[in-house]
Amino acid sequence: MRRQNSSPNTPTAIPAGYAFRLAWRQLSYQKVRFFTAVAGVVFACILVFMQIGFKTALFESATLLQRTMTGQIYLSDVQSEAIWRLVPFPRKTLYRALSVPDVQDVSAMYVGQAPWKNPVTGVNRTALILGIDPNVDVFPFEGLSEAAPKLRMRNVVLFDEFSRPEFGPVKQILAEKGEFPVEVAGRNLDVVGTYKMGITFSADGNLIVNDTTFFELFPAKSPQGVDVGIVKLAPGADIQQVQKELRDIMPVNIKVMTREEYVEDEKAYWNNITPIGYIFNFGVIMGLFVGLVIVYQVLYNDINNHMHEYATLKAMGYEDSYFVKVVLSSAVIFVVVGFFPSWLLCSALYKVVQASIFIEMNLSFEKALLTFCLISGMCFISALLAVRKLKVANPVDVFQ
Amino acid sequence: MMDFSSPPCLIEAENLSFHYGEGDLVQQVLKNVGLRVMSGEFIILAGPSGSGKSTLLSLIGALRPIQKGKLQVCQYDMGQSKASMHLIRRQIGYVFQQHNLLNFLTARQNVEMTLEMLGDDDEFSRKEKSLDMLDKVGLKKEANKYPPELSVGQRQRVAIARSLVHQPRLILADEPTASLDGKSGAQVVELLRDMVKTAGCGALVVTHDERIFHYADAILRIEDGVIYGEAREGGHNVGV
Repeated sequence: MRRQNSSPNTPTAIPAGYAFRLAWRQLSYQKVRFFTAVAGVVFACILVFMQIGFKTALFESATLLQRTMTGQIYLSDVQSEAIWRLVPFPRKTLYRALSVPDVQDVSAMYVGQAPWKNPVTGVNRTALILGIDPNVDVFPFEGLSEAAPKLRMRNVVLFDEFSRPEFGPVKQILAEKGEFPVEVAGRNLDVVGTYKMGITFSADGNLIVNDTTFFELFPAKSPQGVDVGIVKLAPGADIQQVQKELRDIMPVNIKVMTREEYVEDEKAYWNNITPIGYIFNFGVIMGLFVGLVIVYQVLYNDINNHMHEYATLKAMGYEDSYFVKVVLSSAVIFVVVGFFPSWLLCSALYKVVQASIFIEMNLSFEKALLTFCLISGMCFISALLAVRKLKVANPVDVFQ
Repeated sequence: MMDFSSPPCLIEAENLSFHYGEGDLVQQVLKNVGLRVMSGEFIILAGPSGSGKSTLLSLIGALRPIQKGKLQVCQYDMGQSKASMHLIRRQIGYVFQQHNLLNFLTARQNVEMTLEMLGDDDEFSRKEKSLDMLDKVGLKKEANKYPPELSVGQRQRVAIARSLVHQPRLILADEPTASLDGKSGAQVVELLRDMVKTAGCGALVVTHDERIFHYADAILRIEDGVIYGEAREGGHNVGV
């Protein structure tokens, strides 16, 4: 026989690739068991993907209006929590903003919710109604600028094409018959056009009316009360500086927010005040916990079932670190084999869900990366927990 | 530390003692044991259950630290080498009562595990050496079979191939024939003895199986932690 390349008394680090290969052979030997374990990881991945997807869809849809408006600074009462839970503040307070030099213009937005009667079925459905000054261009929704001139008339309404189908085939009727009457909040309005905005978790459909019509729909609301103040600045103005100056002149009950802060304010409502954000976070944690238990069980059983073999290999000269590498490699295999099919599967699931709830579900690379990191962490923790069992593999036992 | 100028003495124990437990529960397992095994020797250690055979083997195999006395294995001083016990283990070929092969590896892959441990990173070379070794134990045709597809005797021979493929300087065997029938047991022992005689290593075999005693260069008997030696042809005593 020939001699080895290296002497047994020369310390040699066993390449990590050998540990990875051993892990793969060990996991793939019992295929049914392996695929059962992978299915567990896939299940955890899907849970995490979907919960993150729902949560992101919630935030993105809830802040769609705030993210789209072109005002640089927004004013609202400190008691206002979300776009559909607004507390009005005095109109004269809004106009006080015009005293700041770099403020070019201010406009008021009014928000309410009222029933819309489906023009075909007659069934009522609650819509979110925005009351705006049609002469102010701060809502760059697709189709709105074309339809805005018609909005100057009283008792007309623009309909969001992305509203749920339960609101009726409005666009089709408009195309076939032209302007037609609908019942909103018990009053007859004419639908004169459509625009594209998108629904949220709090609104199945959206309408835009002019401010005069808005107060006819909501007689309890006072024209002297503004729900949201939109401030447009002069070109080149320093937003932070103007925000500071506005805070200096506004009463303490007025929030003065940049657009980014306004978006975060809306998110904070869903994340902190409603239980929905917590529920989705909890769903992510549950998915990770389920996956952690499954992966831990598989890794633990693999170690437990091969305790004598590992002890024998230790007696031959293998070090503990090698078996740690084997277990960590198993975790890596679970991540890779479980994550990527889940990614593909969830790409399809997102489309199915989007078609059902009419809220955009976008499986972005960032979401995939976040899920990958969470699943990797889950598998890594499972491996670290399972590795403790390796200490029991004592080479002395093979002589008992 | 290795001392290449030393004579080829593979095991040298002097006044080696070992106990389990503490205080009133102390159980003295080895009592001032002396032992020498040279290259080219095939030594059998026999004794009743609980006599200290396995404990002695585990000390020689660097599987537990010594407590009292002196022990050198392959010229490593076991009292000084606690930090590199795994390196001492790599000098030794272990044959256990149970084969303890990895079921998810083929016979050849199991044998290759030893070579991978030693840093033999040439896949072709590893494969060739493993097949050579399996050929020596008569299992070349079974190289691609998994342990569950082999008989008990065949598995034990694969385990021997795994233990010997790196040409260890010392072979330690613990009841290597216990799970084998007479014919398979004889084949295994003949194989071990051939390795000793052809490769120049030494072997210490613990066994109850008197059918294999005639293969030994010397037979040591251990009882209550004390070794009783027998004179051998070469003139020196293996047991002290």
